[in-house]
Amino acid sequence: MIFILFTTKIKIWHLGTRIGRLRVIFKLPEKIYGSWPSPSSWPSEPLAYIEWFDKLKKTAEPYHDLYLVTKPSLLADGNPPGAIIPLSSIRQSCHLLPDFSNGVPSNWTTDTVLDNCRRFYLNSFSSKYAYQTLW
Amino acid sequence: MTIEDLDDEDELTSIRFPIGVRLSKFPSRKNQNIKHIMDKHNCPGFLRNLTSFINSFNQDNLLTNGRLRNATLPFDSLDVFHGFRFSLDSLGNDIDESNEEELDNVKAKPRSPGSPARFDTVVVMTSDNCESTGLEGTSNDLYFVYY
Repeated sequence: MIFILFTTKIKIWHLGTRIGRLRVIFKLPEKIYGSWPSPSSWPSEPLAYIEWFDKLKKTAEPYHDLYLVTKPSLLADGNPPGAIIPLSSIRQSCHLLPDFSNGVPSNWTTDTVLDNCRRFYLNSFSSKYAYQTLW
Repeated sequence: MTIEDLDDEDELTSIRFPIGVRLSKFPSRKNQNIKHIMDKHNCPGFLRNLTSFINSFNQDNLLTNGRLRNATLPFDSLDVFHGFRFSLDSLGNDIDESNEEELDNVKAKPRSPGSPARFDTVVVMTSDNCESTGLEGTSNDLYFVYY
């Protein structure tokens, strides 16, 4: 009998990605100071301003196999961590399920829960596409 | 899981991410004042991040964080879009029974009369190699033993 031991790669689908909330889609102006052309080094492609959630843990949570998504602490200036990114670096939309384990506060509604809740689960069952990609 | 299973996954990861971003030719709002955008889009950190982003292209005279706080931008308004769409056709037909192209609508839209604000959550690629590698990571935790 022969035993062969392999060390191999596993899939970490979210390596090199991060969950964020899309706040602004915009383009930089072609003119600055009123009439001067903007620097050629500036990107002409559409950009986005994203407010980040915390980086995902390596593995999903037990029992339901959904990834926990939490809001980060505010920065010293009182603002949430964010970044300007090329719009093309957004890979897909995603649906977050609020963490209902401590009940449902009265200020959570469809339109406010993303603002008022701090813990979510990444919903990999929101669509067939999400089911194939968010795991 | 077998070695054959891993090979199947490698093939899958190469086709499962969208490519096409579709943005309207014309902005939803032209020349929006940046302070107005921060108010309407509820994003108080926008100006600081935008200033830092513009500074990153100023290679000859990069400002330090301390001086960046007092820096002003050479513009005060932007063209803003309230949404865009992805084409998900790179997934292949197996995901869409109708064989029609699937689209993912993403919104960043402030409140308007009769319509609540909507700022969608998204998955962002933050490193250059994540798309090309199909988001594959390495781990030494998993071992295969067979005989």
